[in-house]
Parts: sequence; structure tokens; C-alpha cells
Amino acid sequence: MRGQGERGTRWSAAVTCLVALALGTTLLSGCIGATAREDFTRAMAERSGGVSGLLVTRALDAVGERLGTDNPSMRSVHVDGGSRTVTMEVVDPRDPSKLDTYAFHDATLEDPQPILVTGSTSVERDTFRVQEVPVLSSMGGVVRVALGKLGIEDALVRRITVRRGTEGVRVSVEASSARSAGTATFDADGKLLDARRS
Amino acid sequence: MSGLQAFGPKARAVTIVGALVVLVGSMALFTLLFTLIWPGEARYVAELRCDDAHPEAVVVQDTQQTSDGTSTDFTVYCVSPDGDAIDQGWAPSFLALWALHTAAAGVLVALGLVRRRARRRRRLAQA
Repeated sequence: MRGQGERGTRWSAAVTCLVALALGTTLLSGCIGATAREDFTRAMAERSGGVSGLLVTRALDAVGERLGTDNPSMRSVHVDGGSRTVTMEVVDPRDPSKLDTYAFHDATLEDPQPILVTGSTSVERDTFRVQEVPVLSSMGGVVRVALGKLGIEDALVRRITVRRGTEGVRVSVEASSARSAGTATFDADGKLLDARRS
Repeated sequence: MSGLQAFGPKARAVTIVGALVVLVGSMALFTLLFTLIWPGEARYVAELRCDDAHPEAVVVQDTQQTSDGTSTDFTVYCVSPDGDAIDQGWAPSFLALWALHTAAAGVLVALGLVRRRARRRRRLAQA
């Protein structure tokens, strides 16, 4: 009889715990230790000014891995600060006359999309090797310098473009806030060439 | 003779397997309910999977209004000091927590059994 009584007490204790847990779940659901999506997005943007340098590094690594090379050839790299998407125009290593667009978003490299190459396009003249452009591995620093030099309050990076111009590879960082906008330009080594508010 | 010793080896094996199934199953339910109260617990197991460039784990909550009421999803991200975030999903952290809770409960049950057996032995020795 005593054993049955003890067992009954244990069962009622277990049921009480379960009811308390269920009640706690209902009342406190998601309260402790989770960050709301909006707060998370805002916090990440505040840390980096909208674009993290590691995003570019991961995108370039993903393309290199897909193509089986650590030094792919590219015509341009575009980073969209809003969608955190890196779009790269990449030379096909099996046929250097062909270009493909690769988009990297949310840790995923999408399938390549072919680019129309016309007679007036010189793929060889317009492209650069990733390792020829050291600034690509330190984009976080470039973003910090650009935001500092532009001096726009609450600015976020809207777009970064890396492209070969007449004087070599140039990186332009476009940033804006609700009230002001500007562009900073860097060379392939990450040296600031120009920063002006528009 | 008492407890499991009163049965044959087959019955004993069935009882032990049954107890394990109950333990693992009940810990699944416990983990499910507990992570709804304290989803932040997943951070501690997720950080073990984060790489050096993204050392901090953050649990992000998405709440949506559906026709059935409110639905809440959790996602774990490993984030870098400059705001790069890698999606780790929720399932790996949940499975790790489930395993951790089950192991902890298993240790507690084992300690309880050892204590009970020791008490019974003492009682038999006194008798």
C-alpha cells in the first residue's frame, strides 16, 4: 500500500511538472534568449554599415570552389547592401572568351547565368584576377574608411562595385542615409583615392 | 531477489530498452517545450559549430500571424564581429540539446538507481 502511495505521489509530481512546463511554454514562449528578426537585421547592419567584408570573401571562395581555382578571373564584383547579395561576372576557366554571372546570397551560390559577349567586348582587357586585387580580402576595412571619410550620419552601404577602369581596378563604395549620400573610391590595394558627397 | 533480477535476461533487456525509449521520447518532448521557453539555450551548443571568423551564435525569432494563430520559428546564426551572418538552421542545435538533456536525465536516473540500490543493500544488511 505504501509503495502504491509513493508511486501515486511521484506520478502526480511528474504531471505537475509537465503542466507547469506547458503553462510556462504558453506564457513565456520565445521570451528568453531569442532576438526578433528586425532587431537582428538592424544590429548586423550597425556592426558593418550594411555590408560585411566576410560576405565578399565567402562569395569569392564559393566561386573559386565551384570553378576549382583559388584565383578566378572576373570582370566585376557587385555587392548590394540591401539584399546582401554579391553578384560576380566570372570568366569561364574552360573557355576564357565566355562570361557567366554568379550570385551569392545567404551562403548559397546560385547556378551561373550566361552573359552575352558582343564583338566590341574585350573580355581579356576588362577582367582581373582575384589575387591581383588585394583589397578584395579586406573589404571590411574599406567599408569602415569609406563611411568615416564620407561622414554621413547613420549611413549604410548601398552598393560596392569592383571593376577595371582605364587606370586599373577601382572599388567604389556608395553609401547613403535618409538625408545624404556619397561615394568613396579606392584602388586595388585599398588606398583611398576619392570621397565625395553627392 | 528484487526488481529486474526477479525476471529472466530477456525480460530484463526488454525492460531496459523500454526505459531507454521512454527516456529518449520524454526528453524529446521536454526539449521541445523547454526550447520554446528558453530558445537562447541553443546558443551554447551552436557556438561549438561556429567557425573562428563567426564566433558568436545568435538565436533569431520569426513570428508570423497565420489563419491558425501565431507561428514562431527559430533560426541560429553564427555571426562575425563585422556583422556577417551564417545560417545554421534550427535542427542541429535542437538535436544537440535533445542529446544533452537526455544524457543529463540519464545520469540523474542512474544516480537515483544507484542510491536506491545502496539504500536497499543497507536495509538488507541491517535486517
